[in-house]
Parts: sequence; C-alpha cells; structure tokens
Amino acid sequence: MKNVVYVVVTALLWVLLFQLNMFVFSHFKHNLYTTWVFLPAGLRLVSVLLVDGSAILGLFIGALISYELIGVSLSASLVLSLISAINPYIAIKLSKHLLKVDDMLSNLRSENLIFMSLISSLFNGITQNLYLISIGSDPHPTMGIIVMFIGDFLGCLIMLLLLAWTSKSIRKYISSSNE
Amino acid sequence: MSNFKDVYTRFINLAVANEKLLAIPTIEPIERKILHLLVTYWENKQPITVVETMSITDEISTSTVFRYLKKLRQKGYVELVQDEVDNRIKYVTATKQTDQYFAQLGKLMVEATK
Repeated sequence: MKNVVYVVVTALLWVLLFQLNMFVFSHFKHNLYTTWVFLPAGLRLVSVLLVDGSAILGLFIGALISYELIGVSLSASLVLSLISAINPYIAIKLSKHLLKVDDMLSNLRSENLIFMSLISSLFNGITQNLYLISIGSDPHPTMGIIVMFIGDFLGCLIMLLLLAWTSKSIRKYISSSNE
Repeated sequence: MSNFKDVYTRFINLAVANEKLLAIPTIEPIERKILHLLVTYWENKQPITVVETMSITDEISTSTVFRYLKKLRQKGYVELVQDEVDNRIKYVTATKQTDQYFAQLGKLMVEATK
C-alpha cells in the first residue's frame, strides 16, 4: 500500500512540476523535448533519494502522462519515460556507491547533492538524446545533449534551493512559535 | 521497499544536507576550541573516539562537547567512523573541510607575520 502512495505522489508531483515548468519557463524551450530549465529533474533526484525503487514507477507514469499532454507519440513517450525513470535511479545509485553515502543518507553532504545532480543530468542528457537521434527527431544532437544537461542540472539546483529555503523557513517558524 | 519511517529519516537527512547549500558554514568559538584540541590527535595519527572526545578538556562539560561535536559534524568539520571490530565504538576523524580550514588558518598566520 505504501508503495502505491509513493508512486502516486511521485507521478502527481511530476505532472504538476512539468506543467509549472511549461508555464514559467516557456521562453526557455529549445525543442519539443528539451528546455534550458527543467524543474522535474529535481524531483527525479529527491524521489530516488527518498523512496528508492518506488520512484521509478512514479517517474515513469508521471513522464508518460506529461508526454501525452504535449502530443508526443505513444512509442516515443514510452521509451523516453522509461529512460527518464530508470536513468536517475542508476545515476544516483552509482553516485551513492562512489561517494559512500549510506541508505539512510545520514552522511549525505551538500556537495554530494551537487555531484548527484551533475551525474544524473549527464546520464539523462546523453541517453535521451541517443534515443532521439536514433528516431531522427534531433537534427542537432550535440546541442540537444548540452541543453538537456544544463536544463536538468539547473532544474535540480532550483528545486534543491527551493527545498532548502522551505525547510529552513519551516524550522525557523516552528522554533519561533515555540519560544 | 522503504517504510514511512525510513522515508522520513531520509527526508530529514536530505533537508539537513540540502540546507547547507544556502549557507557558508561558520564556526563558533567552542567549536573552534574542540577542533583545535582534536587536530593534535589527528596530526599524531592517534585515533580518538567520541567518548574520549567528550572528556578532551576540563574547561567544557562532556555534554557540551558532545552537543558541539554534533554541530561540527553537521557543518562537515568532523566525521564519525565506526570501529571495524566493535561497532559501538565511533572515531572522530577530520574531513577535507577541516584540512581546508587549517590550511586557511596557516595562510593567514603567514600573511600576518609579513
């Protein structure tokens, strides 16, 4: 039951962030698949860190719905969503292993989060664009990789900073109301 | 698969690490004192446990040292490493940030003497 909750929450947040991204950063769009700022990339990082494997299905369903909403063909949606969901899992698992971050994240440091964001963005930029090249959807593959990498990395950074600011503000508010 | 308690614990740890993105860690006088006492052990390659650190000085109570040790850990100045044989024992070790901190202090001392 709890895994269903993780999947539903992740998918729902993905769709909301995707819509928000299209609304706020509509001018930063490079093509149908890539944008210079991609907020849901931050959700990939956070959800995999928090709910581990359950994030994969949530990210997959969320991405599938989002691609459907912007009119991407079903076959392309399926492959891109699968890449979008599995990639961060592999990238973050690998980063955690390299950085020796434990499962409960007790020794996680801010620099580790930056490293994980970089690896995850790089993985995603390369693999998604390799698929787009293979179906002939991207006439400028190098540019596509660069834009997706920067977009994902900026998305991760913005989401992490927003999360940090929110958690800090909540903590301050709670401690001031307890005084 | 993760239960809610695990997810919450991870969220707290993630939030703590993440909040450091917003601030450059500053060091308080008591933290500095503890760090300066610890560095003599680290320089002599002498392992020091958390319990030993708590009574590293008579000037500060053990509970206060422990509280500031936790703060130093949160700020990334110390790391706790579990003993390979007895996992109840934890050693206090330096981090890259500690090395950078002392390197910076050394540089400032050299500049001050010029």
